[in-house]
Amino acid sequence: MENQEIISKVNDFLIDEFELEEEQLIPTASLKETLEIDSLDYVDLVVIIERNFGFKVKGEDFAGIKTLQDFYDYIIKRVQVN
Amino acid sequence: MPSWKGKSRGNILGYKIFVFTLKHLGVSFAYFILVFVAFYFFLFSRKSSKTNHYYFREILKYSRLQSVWSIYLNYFVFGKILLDKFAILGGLKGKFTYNFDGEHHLRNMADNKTGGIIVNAHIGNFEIAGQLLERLNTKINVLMLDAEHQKIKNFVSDVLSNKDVNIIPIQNDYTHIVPISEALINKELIAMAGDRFIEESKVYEVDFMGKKAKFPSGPFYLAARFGVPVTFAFAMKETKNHYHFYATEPEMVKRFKDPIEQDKELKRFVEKYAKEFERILRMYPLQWFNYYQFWKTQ
Repeated sequence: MENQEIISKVNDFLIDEFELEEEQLIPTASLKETLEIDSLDYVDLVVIIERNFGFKVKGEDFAGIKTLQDFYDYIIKRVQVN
Repeated sequence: MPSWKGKSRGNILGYKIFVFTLKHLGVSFAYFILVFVAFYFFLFSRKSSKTNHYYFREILKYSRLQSVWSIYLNYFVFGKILLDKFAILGGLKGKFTYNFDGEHHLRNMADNKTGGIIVNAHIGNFEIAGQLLERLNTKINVLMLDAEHQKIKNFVSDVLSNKDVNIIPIQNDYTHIVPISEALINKELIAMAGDRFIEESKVYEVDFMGKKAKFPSGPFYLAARFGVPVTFAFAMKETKNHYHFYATEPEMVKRFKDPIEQDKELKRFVEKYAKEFERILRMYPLQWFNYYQFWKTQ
């Protein structure tokens, strides 16, 4: 899967599942403060990531993810490893 | 907003003294020492005494004198419960008797491997119930909010060393979400308090003991998201050596695509929980251990 394809897929589920607008999806946007993804949304993220990309999120993975770019990078890295 | 600020009383030395006293001097002597320890907290824990004064005076409508006396008794009962916890977990289970209302509900959840969320509260002695649940022969995950006291938790874990109890500490970076999700996907049981929340949590304001209070939606959202039942469970001290355990019939929280419908469903469960919580607390008013501003109007 190409990086751009992964980014599009991430954007699609953020728009569909979290009711975000496309123009909000700026790479520097903070997941918590700007996109207002709360603890309950993180529950959904764990399930959606597994469903869309076929890998299990590890507990410590979330620790370094602050911005949308961090999130893209994380997914890309895990998809490549897999 | 009256949310819990993440601080709990107690330190490792205190816990060590408890364990030493119990091992070498016995429960009765430890209770005697508590008379003075409770008085110390009564005199010097002004902040928690102030919030408890509100609870006894404004919520329970006790007289001025009765409220002050109840603040002292509350510390005393809290100490006794802490001691009981260590006594039971330290192998003195046989000294205590229990009766159970609704144990079969939990047994069914364990036997049928439905998984589920056991929603408890900071009243009575739920840690004891957690240990008693080992009778169910299933793994129990316990979600704990006060992760800043990890040192104490580690020490307590050493004392308890129960392989079937897995503690999941809540972290600000949400790393706890993954083990919670895994446990529920694997249809395991998770016990969590439904009466505390941190600042960013989604909460509902509902009637509780005659005034509005905020409760988190998290436990019920998890139940809806992973399709597991919820039960409300409490373990209350009745006499020196006797505990009463209560568990309600497990119920499924419906999941809706429409966020407004989902909100309604979650609020309905928060209200149910608050109602059951109130019913139990009114039977055991001294066993209230939320030492912070709980009600909105305070």
